[in-house]
Amino acid sequence: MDHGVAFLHGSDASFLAAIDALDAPKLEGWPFRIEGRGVPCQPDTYTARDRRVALTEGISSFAKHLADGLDIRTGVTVARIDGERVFLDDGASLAAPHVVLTLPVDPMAELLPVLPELDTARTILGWLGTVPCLALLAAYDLHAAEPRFDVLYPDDGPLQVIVHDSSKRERPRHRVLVLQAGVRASRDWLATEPQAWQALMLAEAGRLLGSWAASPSWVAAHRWRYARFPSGAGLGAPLVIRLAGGRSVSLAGEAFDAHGGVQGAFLSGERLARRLLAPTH
Amino acid sequence: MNENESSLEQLVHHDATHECGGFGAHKICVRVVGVASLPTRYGDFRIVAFWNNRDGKDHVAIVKGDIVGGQDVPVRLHSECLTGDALGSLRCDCRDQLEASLRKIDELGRGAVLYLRQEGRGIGLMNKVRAYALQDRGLDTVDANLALGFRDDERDYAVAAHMIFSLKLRSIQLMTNNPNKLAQLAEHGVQITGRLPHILPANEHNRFYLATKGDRSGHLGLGSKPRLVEQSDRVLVEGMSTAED
Ligand SMILES: [Zn+2]
Ligand SMILES: [Zn+2]
Repeated sequence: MDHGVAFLHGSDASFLAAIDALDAPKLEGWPFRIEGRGVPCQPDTYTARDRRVALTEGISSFAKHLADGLDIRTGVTVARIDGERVFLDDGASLAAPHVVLTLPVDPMAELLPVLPELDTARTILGWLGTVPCLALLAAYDLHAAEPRFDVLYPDDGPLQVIVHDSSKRERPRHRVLVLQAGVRASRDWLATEPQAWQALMLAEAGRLLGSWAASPSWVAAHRWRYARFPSGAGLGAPLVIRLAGGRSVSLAGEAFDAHGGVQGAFLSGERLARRLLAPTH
Repeated sequence: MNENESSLEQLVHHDATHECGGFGAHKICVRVVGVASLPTRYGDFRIVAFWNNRDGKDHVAIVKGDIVGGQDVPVRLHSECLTGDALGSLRCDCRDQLEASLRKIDELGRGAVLYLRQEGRGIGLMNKVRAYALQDRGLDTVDANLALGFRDDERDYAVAAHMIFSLKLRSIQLMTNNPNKLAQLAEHGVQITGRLPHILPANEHNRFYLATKGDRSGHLGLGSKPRLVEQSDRVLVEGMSTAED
């Protein structure tokens, strides 16, 4: 089940090839039934040129597939970077002559080493931003009414989208909806108690779908302070800043691609890799 | 109706049902969808509008003379620049380059400017303005320009190559100072029989290109700042001695 990105979509050949190379159950073309006049996070999601693919076991399998073979350490917090070393919050540090940051823009700016060579990068990051998203995964009995959409973009109200997640499965054990609040509601509710915004989101689901939708058998809430980059305002490419002594700091992610989204994040990383690996003169 | 009008207009009918595998990695396909006369201050031309299968950007060709089926047709590639082409900005020389190519083609009596709707070579107006903002702050823009995305992209050449095929140009003489452009178009199967160096006449608007490096008294104060190359051609200005640097 996916709290966040509900499916992958894109038109770039190398991005689509990476999806094809993923050995995981896929649902080609999902969502099939799209309702509502609201606007998706990425307005061009449903253009004819974009191919859509849902991963029935969760989008994270795509990231895991891409990370396969890399030396990854989880559960460690990076406290500071100075352009030579990466300092962890447990007091340890690692030599890192080349650092690539792929965080959301706001935490990226916080981690950026304070060096005069990075002033331009800091200026550029100041032009970009990240928007929050409050998400609620709500599970119902299978007796509950079955929505006739895979994805609904409500015409009005605080919800940006309702994803009928269990419609990805042939024999779901629960009816599962994922409610995502729009940017304004997410921002307004971000500092409030989760119980408060959960109740508001369920009430809204009830108003849109019928009273059954307001009373799920269980819920799981997710608060993304830095959920995504506002689509369409991204830079054209990743940023590489060469430092003295052959060191470098690079920035990539969906904000570093003109179209953004998962495809944009992928493409910016691919471009960055090509630039970093290219032989230098 | 002269021969040329009929042949250009026939392309509209011919292309109405055009389908192909597409050009380049992005499989770009274009169709000629409209042709009309376009009298300009640089001479009388015809404008050819193209549909494409990738985005809503309507590329156009500004055509002089009877070029359909022609050989050695002079062709210039120009990337859209709203600030320069339409607003007369002096931050770049795009308008000078466009005017010079139209005047030259008018003088030659035949040829085409392929006007590609890829503002700032594909980065869009938004990121071009951001790049200008960096210049205004006097910041080092070399890497920043890359981040803002100025590109010399395969897809631009794929569009141009398809437009050349749609116009049924059997071979072209490219108006360029950029050898990479020749190679890129040739890779898409365009027959290039020659190169016409693209030289701007010296005038008050492009004299900052004539200024020697390090000259701090550049035109509008821009001469001394790092500049964006907004067209993928290096500029040659009459009387310029540092063209091959
Ligand atoms: Zn075609
Ligand atoms: Zn320009």
